[in-house]
Amino acid sequence: MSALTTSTILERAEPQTATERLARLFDACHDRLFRLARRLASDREEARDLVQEAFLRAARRPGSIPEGDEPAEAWLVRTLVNLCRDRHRRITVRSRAHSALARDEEDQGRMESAVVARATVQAALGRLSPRRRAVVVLHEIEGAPVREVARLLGVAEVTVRWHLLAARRELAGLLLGPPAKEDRR
Amino acid sequence: MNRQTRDEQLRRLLREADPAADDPGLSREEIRHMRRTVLSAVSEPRRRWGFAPLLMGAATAILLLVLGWTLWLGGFSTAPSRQPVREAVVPPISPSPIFTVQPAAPTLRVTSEKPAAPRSATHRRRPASRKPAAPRTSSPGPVAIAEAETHQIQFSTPGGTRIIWVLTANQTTD
Repeated sequence: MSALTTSTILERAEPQTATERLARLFDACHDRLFRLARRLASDREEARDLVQEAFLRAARRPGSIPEGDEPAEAWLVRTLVNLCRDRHRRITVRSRAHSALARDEEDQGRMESAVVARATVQAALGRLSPRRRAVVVLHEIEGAPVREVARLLGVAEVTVRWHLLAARRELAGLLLGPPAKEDRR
Repeated sequence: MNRQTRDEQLRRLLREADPAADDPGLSREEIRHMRRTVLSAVSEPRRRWGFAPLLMGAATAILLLVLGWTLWLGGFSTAPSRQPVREAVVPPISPSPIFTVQPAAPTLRVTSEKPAAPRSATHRRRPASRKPAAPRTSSPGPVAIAEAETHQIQFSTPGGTRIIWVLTANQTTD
């Protein structure tokens, strides 16, 4: 995880003002947040907007950022996921993902197989709720252990495991087809 | 294909389709622009109340000064000293009006009607009579003339305490 890198950078000096603190936080976390946003958002522009909005929230309420490097990073991650959730509610990503999935299936013959696979996976991820998608991205793609995912998202470990189980079942149904009979038991 | 194999296959699919894998990330220009935008939106915590303890201390000092000045002036005031209040507490006998003023002078009237045995000169009427409302039937004798201008003020407090003041006009203090 990049938390160690973040801690190393932030431990160099204790920031004095809110501006200095946020500047150091930005320098330490913007790349990590952008990668996470890129995996949570549908495209690059949306990911960039999400990162900027997360930092703007921190800038408007610097007192709400917890002390310490890791809590501050977790606060930013939670803010980012919450922003994804708000955006998801507003523009009904679920329905768009549905249509995107159908459109991808139609265009399957004309596209490269790798591109098709990537678009299909992205569309399947887009069907997940933002929090569940964040759990999948952090655990399955970024390789964070369950405890770290729980810390970053501010939820219990059992909640993370429950989201993982449900997400795997849903994604496998979309990407791998229905499980064999013996697997259902 | 068991469940573990499906999970592994799913993880491989997700990592192959990772959109951030091929993304170079934010460019320097994007980072600089975003950083400037973010830092310009920082609202520094207000330090307006930073000197609040000092303000509170000054206000307390001023309050104490005013209080001390007031007490000092009060010590030199020419207000008359309070006289000790004479009061008699007796058990409630009967419901009485809250404020009753009745002259304790029926002695003169009784004296003229019924000459009884003269009382000794040292006899003094009890100030808190058990029956204050009842007219006196005994003759006060010669002393009664001196007591002619004695008045009683009886009143009871809401708590039931009865207070009787005996006011003697000719009484001399020692």
